[in-house]
Order: sequence, then structure tokens, then C-alpha cells
Amino acid sequence: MARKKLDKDTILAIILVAPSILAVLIFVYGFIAWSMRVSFSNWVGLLPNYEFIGLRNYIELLQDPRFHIDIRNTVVFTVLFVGGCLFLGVGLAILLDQGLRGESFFRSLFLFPMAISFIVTGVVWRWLMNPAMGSRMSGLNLLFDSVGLDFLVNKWHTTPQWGIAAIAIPAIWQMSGYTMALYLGGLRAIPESLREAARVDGASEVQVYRRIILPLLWPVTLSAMIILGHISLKVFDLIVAVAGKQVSLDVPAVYMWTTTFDGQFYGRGASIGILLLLSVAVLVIPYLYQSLREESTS
Amino acid sequence: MKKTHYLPVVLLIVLGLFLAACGGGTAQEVSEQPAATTAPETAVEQPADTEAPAADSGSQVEVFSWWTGGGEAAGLEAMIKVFAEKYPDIEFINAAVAGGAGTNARAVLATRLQAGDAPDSWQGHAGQELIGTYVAAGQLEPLNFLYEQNGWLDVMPETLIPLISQDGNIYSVPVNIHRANVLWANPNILSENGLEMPASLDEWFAAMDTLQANGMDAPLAMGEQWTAMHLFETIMLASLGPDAYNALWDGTGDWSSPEVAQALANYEKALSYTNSDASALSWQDAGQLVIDGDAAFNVMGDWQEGFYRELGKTPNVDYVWAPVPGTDGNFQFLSDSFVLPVGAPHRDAAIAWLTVAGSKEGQDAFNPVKGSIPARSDGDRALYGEYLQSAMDDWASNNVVGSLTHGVVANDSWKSEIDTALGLYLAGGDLDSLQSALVAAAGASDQQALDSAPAEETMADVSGPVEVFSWWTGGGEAAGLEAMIKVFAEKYPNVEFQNAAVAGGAGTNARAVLATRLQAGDAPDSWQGHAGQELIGTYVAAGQLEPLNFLYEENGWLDVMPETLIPLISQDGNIYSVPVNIHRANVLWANPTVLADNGIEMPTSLDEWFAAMDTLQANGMDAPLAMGEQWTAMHLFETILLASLGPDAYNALWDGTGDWGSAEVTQALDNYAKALTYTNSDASALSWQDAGQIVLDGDAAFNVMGDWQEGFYRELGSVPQEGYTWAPVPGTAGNFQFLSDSFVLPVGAPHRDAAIAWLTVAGSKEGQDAFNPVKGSIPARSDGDRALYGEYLQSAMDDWASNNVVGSLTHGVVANDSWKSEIDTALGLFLGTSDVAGFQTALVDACASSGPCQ
Repeated sequence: MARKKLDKDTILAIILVAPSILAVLIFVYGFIAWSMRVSFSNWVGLLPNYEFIGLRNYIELLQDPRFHIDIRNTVVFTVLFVGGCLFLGVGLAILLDQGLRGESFFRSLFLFPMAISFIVTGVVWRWLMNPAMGSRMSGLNLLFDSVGLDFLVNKWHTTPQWGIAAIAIPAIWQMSGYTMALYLGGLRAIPESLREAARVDGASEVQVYRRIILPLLWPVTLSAMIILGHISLKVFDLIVAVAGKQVSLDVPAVYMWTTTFDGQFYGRGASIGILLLLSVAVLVIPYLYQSLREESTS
Repeated sequence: MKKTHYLPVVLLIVLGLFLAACGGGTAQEVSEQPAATTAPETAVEQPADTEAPAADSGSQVEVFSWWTGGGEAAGLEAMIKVFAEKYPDIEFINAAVAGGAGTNARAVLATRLQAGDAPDSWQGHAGQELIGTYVAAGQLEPLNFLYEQNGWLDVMPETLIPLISQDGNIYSVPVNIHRANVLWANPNILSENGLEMPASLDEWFAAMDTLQANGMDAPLAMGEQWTAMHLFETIMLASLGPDAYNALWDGTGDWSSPEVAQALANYEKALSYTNSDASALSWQDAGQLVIDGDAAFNVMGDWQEGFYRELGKTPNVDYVWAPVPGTDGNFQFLSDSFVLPVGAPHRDAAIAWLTVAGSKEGQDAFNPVKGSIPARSDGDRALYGEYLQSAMDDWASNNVVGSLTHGVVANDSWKSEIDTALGLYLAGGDLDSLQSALVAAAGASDQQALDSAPAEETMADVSGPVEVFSWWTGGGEAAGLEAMIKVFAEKYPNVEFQNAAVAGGAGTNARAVLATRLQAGDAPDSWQGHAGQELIGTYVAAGQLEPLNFLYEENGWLDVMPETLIPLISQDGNIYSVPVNIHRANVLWANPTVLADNGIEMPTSLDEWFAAMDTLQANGMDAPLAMGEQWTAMHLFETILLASLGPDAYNALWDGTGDWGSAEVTQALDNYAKALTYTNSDASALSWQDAGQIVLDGDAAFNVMGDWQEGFYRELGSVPQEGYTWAPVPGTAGNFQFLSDSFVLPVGAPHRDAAIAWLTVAGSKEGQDAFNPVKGSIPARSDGDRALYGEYLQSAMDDWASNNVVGSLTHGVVANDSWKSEIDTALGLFLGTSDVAGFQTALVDACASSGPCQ
């Protein structure tokens, strides 16, 4: 048979999406290309300088002790944040799935933090996680101290080495409700008959979840990991709101900003941007690849 | 099935590759722009070398217009030909945009200007349309020099010049002239009814009464709403006469006067003779009605003549004309003109273009083709037709007044309000509300009118807007700025101060915004910056600033500012900024009660200080030295560096003659490490205010901070010497480690004169004494009025006048931004590791990579 001709609908569809595709290509991919070019350049100072210096910015970054801190902080933050959100999210979803009364109230309650911007979250948690000791103690520390939970009093984000872990707390607080919503959707999609069948075969409730439900939720987990993962890699506002610009809590996005606009190392800033892009791509591309393959085989 | 699935994907990839290539193209263009932004550099030397805009070979000029069709495009082509003969080396780029009678073109132009991508010249209606839009936005250069060089003032009507000027500056070169106040008539109808061309409004109305009596319902043809405005402006002129008409536009006239009411009544009467389908007709349709004999009269600009000729009609046979009755002797004009933008990418070529556009040859090439008359009164009459010749006679001899509908007398916003008022009236409103709407519209534009009115007398005085960029948006800083603006407004009442302050991040946001604007070629007239290397390393290195030595000399500032200050704000002997205020960085704040309780005196050396803190720790105070977030750690660092090294060795570190790897620096770093052991563990979570508060609360004894701390303490209601006390940081007595906010003059400032006026105020005694008491800092001048300042500030003024002046690192005096950010990184790492040797190595590296150590 001859090739199918493009019918009217297809042409119309292409015309309709063309403007947004065009805009994305220019404003996303065009500027990625431009950043790439800057990242290979020796641009330091106000005015552009596109002298090509190859990978020097990248090599310097990899030797830069500050960037080592950035990488470490990002890894710690990502593991804690994604792990915490997934754990809390699946837990809350399972609890809500038990058909208890007032489910919609709790669902909204857990979801609401997501409606707040990271900046607001950051400012509030900056007060809550006040690290002052002794007579100036306040926030959560004061609460712990006054109810006798002294061992919980800690220095939060000013803890040497592990301060970044404290930043993950507000992030988890904010995004676990969203993860819960994802899981809840997944749980609702699992037919009741599967659980019934497992129970008839003599599986305990725990086994039903471990062997049946959680494996079936794997696609949801994957999506949640991708979404949370790229948020985590790009985190900027939360850290600046909680901790300002201090090297011990530095992440690549903060470094990119300070080095570009405070230090005028535009080339180095662009290199950090490109590395951020690559790290997000490492997360997203296999996922896209897999979901595309699943679509075409189904 | 599969095939259809892959098709869109393949398509997308192909498209993507294609556009990625385009993306590269965009990048190229973007990268070329900065070249354009550096062009203003040449603007500085401008007045000197403009005499001969001799063509630089290989140059080009991009001229923007909406002349894309008919006689206009042909006229432009003819003028381009003249240009090409005179300047064969300049390539002419015709950036004409079609559609909407210029509306599209103006939208495109606005976008390009916002993107900092100005063409070399563009077309606009001479008068307030250009002035209100582009001059108000600081986009145009005055062209008086061109008029003088080419003697244009002698060949253009005297009454024209004020209409195309603002505050004595001429901003455009008119190429052609059209007349708005022309009455077109059908001679056959007139003779059939025994009528003459009317010479006054009354005669005209009487003639139309006759015509109506003879069965012609609508003797006056009119078209859509803008033609109703066109009729309006001519009847206003006819009723009021030229002086009162002009007065309405320059703000000296009274829109609520009975004369205006009478003029509006005339307008109402005229409208009663018009066709009922006016709003459905174009101006051509309305003109056609006269030719066809369906109406006797029509008021339209003289482009009507070209239209009638196109229709094959003969003057004086098929149509006749006269000035609108009652406007004889007045030439209500409009004009297309060209301008010179500030920072034109090819300024010399643009001047060459303007020279041709204003020349006899250029105008005589353009106008016969377009069907208009030259703006010059010496055009070659033989080239023009019968109507145009009569118009040229009138142009040379008549009183020139401006058109409203075509952008001469009112700016766009005013005009649009009048348009709304007229539209409401035409839709069935009454005369009283029309008049009050016109009064309101004039009131809204009053400010601008008043600005321009007194201008003619004070040609030399500075005027126009000045846009000053700062990060003073709150508290004492904003109040201080306001106080200084008030002084400025008194001295320069004609300059409108535009406060372009950007909030947030202690100036970080503002500097990011400024960098973006500079990269886009959209510099403000002046901006705030920390005096010293922060300004020099960033803006002077990029060639953005003009040296200000001339201002210092003219105003005698060198005599009233400390001698040791000048080298710190200069580069290669050029002074680049005007410091407004002075803050001291090396101040040790202490709690006198805590000191007394522990039997401690204010320490005068580092050793005494450390000993005192040891005592305090022994007495149970864990952290006697309060510190805040990372920048306050750098602040502490710079003061201890100064205390350990002394001023000469400290200065040597920054000018490249000192050795960062020396044993003395190691000793200084050890001192710093020791000082850090006395600080609070939650330092990184505290702001500088938090840290200062700790001292006030008695939770710590000491804090090192700049003297803005004093303002903070006062705000808290604390009393000097009771709640807090101060001294130079131990070991730095006799040295004044300063920082300063200062203002600069960018190369190619949009309003250079106004910017210089601002700088003059910023450096004056009045300006500084207005600003500093409010902001809580001392004046950079040593002759400030002591009575205005509080106890601490008076002591600082004494020290400023007598001490050795050294610069602050944290606040941008001694190191450029790149160097400082490297030091900041090294210091941040050191705060985590406490590795003195590693810190020192990083400092040595930082000086080598971004500082003067090579």
C-alpha cells in the first residue's frame, strides 16, 4: 500500500503546535546552546568575551574544592530529600487509602505545603531551626528544651559537615504531600480484586503490600523520583532562604549565581549551568526513553 | 501503525536540528550586540569630530521607517540615491516596516529599543510624538550641532524650531512638510449655488446653510474618527487664532476658558453639516464625496492633492482649495523626520544620513515624488506642482503652528485622551462634558507641558530626566536619598529625577540588574557603587565609565577630600566616582556593662583583646566575640589583617607589591584563626543585626562591624556609652578603614548634562549634609556641618579628617569583584576546615588569578 498521505487533521495539528515548539526551541534549546558557548569561553567581567578556551572552565571546576562541597551537598540533599519524600509519601498514601473518615480533609492538609513557595518555607523554617544555644535559644530547640527532649536540641544547618541534611527537612515537609498524592492515585488504580485474590491465597496484610501493592506502584515511584530528583538538583531558593550564601551549604545553583553575578565569572557560571543540565538529563533521559519504549510496544 | 507513530518523532528531530542551528545563529547575533554597546565610547568625543561626518569606508547605516509603498517608498528611494552619491562607502540598510500607517513600525521599533538594538536612525512625526516618546525615554541625541554646522536654522521657518524642540534641544531633522489646515471644495457645486470659497468660519457656515437649503443634506464630507480630530484641530485654530491655539499645547492656555467653549461650539456647528455615515468612511472616501459632487467641502491634509491627482482630476477644475476658513496666514503643519538615537550603532553614518535628509538635494529628491514640500524654504520650485508651489510660498511666509492629529503638539498619551474625549462626544455626548474632558486631559499632561514651557528662556540650563540607579530602597538609605533628591530638585528644577532603585540582597540584585542593562546597552545616567576596585574592576575595566577629574577640579573637591582617599578611588590617575558618604569598617563595638563587670578596659592591641576575651571565657562567657553570616567573617578578617600588618603592608597586599605568602600574612591569619575561636557557634545563622544584638543583650562582649551598627543601636533605643561603646579595632587606631557609596558617570549617559548635575549635587556640601545625617554616615567631604551629626559620627568625622585612610575588602574598595569572590570562597572553606596553610595558599592563588599578583 502506498504511504498514507498527511490528512487535514495532522496538518492542522502540526500548525497548532508549531508556535510553542518554536518558542521552546529558541528559548530553551537556543539558550542552552548559548550557555554552552559561554561555558567554553573566557568571559570574566561585565562585557562578553567569547575567546574559546575549551574545557578549561570544566576542568577548573572539577578541581575546585568549593565545587566538591557542592557535589557532596547535592548528593546528600538528594538522597535524603527524595528518600524522605518517597517514604513519607507512600506511608501517608497507604494510611489514607484505608478508607478512614475525613480522608479528603487530610489529603488537602498534606497537599497544602506544596502550594507555598520554597522561599516562604525557607523563611519559616529558618526561624523554626534557629541554632542559637543557651539564653538565646528559640524555635524548635526551645520547644525541645522546654518539654525535656534536650537530646533533640541541635545546631540544625550549622552542624559541621551535615548541615545540608537539615535543609532537607523543610524540603521533605513541603513535597511529601505531593508524593502522597501521586501514590494515592497509583493505589486507587490497583483493582481491589488483586488484593482479594492475595488474601484468599492466605497472604497477610503486610505481605499484600510488600508483594503485590508496592511492586505495582513501581512506575509511580519512578515518576516521583524523577520529579523530586530534578527539583533537588536545581534547589536554590530554599537554601538561600534558610542559610544565605555560605560555602558550607553551597550547592551548584547557588555557586552558579554567586560566581556569575557577584564574581562576574560568566564562563564558570555557564559551565555550572551546563553541568546541572547534564545531571538532570542523566535522570530524565533514561526515564523518557523507557516510557517511550513502553508506549510503542503497548 | 508503527510508521505513523514514528513520523511525528522524526519530524520533531529534524525540526529540532534545524532550529538548533538557528539557535546558534541567535547566539551569534547576541554576541555581536556588545559591539554596539561599546559604540557610545565614540560619543564622548562627539562634538569635536562631527564637522565632517566623513564616511568611514565600509560602514553602514540602518534607517527605520514605515515608508513601504506608493509615493513614500519612491521618495525614500530617491533620497537614498542622493545619499549613495554623497557617501558611496556607506551601505544603506532600509529597515522599513509595512502596515497600519506606521503603527506596526512603531511597535517594532519599541521592541528593538527595549532590546537595546536601536537602528541608526528612524522616522517619526516631528514634535511631541517623538519628544514625548523617545526624548522622554532618553533615547535621542539633541541635534543642535547639525543645525548649526549646516546652517539649517537659516533655511527653516523660525516658528518651526520650538515645535520640534524640547528645552532648547532640537531632536529631529524634518524631511517633508504637510499642511493640515486645507479646505477642499468642489468648484462646480460652489458656482451652481452662487458661492465663493469662504474666508471665515461664519462665511463658511452661511455657505453650508445655503447648500442645505438647496437640498444638499451634508455639505461637509468627513470620514472616520481621526478625520473628525483633524477637523477639530483646524476649527480650534480658526476660532482661537495661532497664539491662543499654541498656548493650549504649551500649558500656558486655559482649556476651560469661554474662548475654548466658543471654539467647541463652532466645532459642534461644523459637525452638524457632516455626513451621517462619516465613521464608516476613510479619508479617501470622504475626499471622493467632494469630487463626486455629493458634498461641497472637506477638510483634510494636503496629501489629498496626491489622491485627487491619482484619480486623474485637475486642480481648479475638479477641485479647489484654500486654508480652512479663519486660518489664513497660518500653516498647521506635520512632518516626517529622522532622529539620532543615543548610542547609535553607527553614529557617524547616521549623522551622514541626517545631513542628507536635511540637505536641499535630499529634500528635493524626496518631496516631489512623495507629494509634499521640503522643510527647507529654499527648495527648487520648478520641481513641484501647482498646489505644492502655493504651499511652499505659505510655508516660507506663514505663521507655523502644529497639528494635533499628526503628532506635533501633543504627546501620544495626551493625544489618546483627547481622542477618547472626542469619540465620546461624537457618540452622543454634550459640549460641556467634552470641554471638561479636554481640561482633564490637559491637566494630566500639565506636568510635561510646564516642563517644556519655561525651557525656551533657559536654553543653557540643564533639563530633561536623569535616571539614577541605586539599591537604596529602605530605611535611612532611602530617606537620605530623598533628602539629597530634594536638594537636587531645588538646584535643577528642570531636571526630572528618576529614581531607579532596585531592592534586595544588599545591592546584589541591583548589581545583577545593572549588569543586564549595561550588556543590553541601556545604561542609566548614573548609578551607585562602592567606591574603589569594585567600581574600577568592573565598570572601568569594561570601559563603561568616564573619568571625573574635571568635576573634581571645577568644584574644588580635591581640597576638601582626604588626600589618601583619592588614589583608592582612582585608576591610572583618573578619578571615576563621586563618593557621597563614608562608613568606617574597623570599629570594635562592646558592651560597657559586661566590660565593667569583668574589670576589662577597651583593648588597644590584638594581644590585649585576646587576653580580655580569655578572661571573659574563664568567667563563663563561651563566645565573647559575636559574629554573623559569612560576609561578617570577611569583615572581621579584613580588620584583623589591617591590625596585624599595619596600613602599609595591608595596602601592599592589594596593589600587588605585597606578598600573600609571607610570614607576616601567616601571622595575621593565625591571629584571625585565634579570633574565630572566640566567636559564637551559630554565627552562620545570624545576620549582622543579630550579631550586634548579642552584644547589646550582654550575651557577648565584642563585635566587629562597620559603623552602620551605630544607626542600628540607636534605632533600638540604646544610648551611646551606656548601652554600647566603641573604639577602632585593636591595633588599627589611627587608621580609617573606609567604604563609600559613590555615583558614576557612564560613557554615553543618555542625559549626560543632567547626570553631571546630579554628580555635582552628590559631591556638594549641601547634598552630602542632606544625605548623611539621615543615613547615619559621614560626608566624604571634610567640611561637613558638625552640628548636624550625632556623637559617634562627630568622632568619625574627626578621624576621617586626620587618620590614614585605607580601604575595605568586604565592601569593595581594595579588590575587584572576581578577586573578592575568590577570597570569599577561600574564607568560606577555611571557616569549615580551620586550615591556615590551605587558606594562605588559596589567598596566594586568588591574588594571582584575579588580583594584581602575576
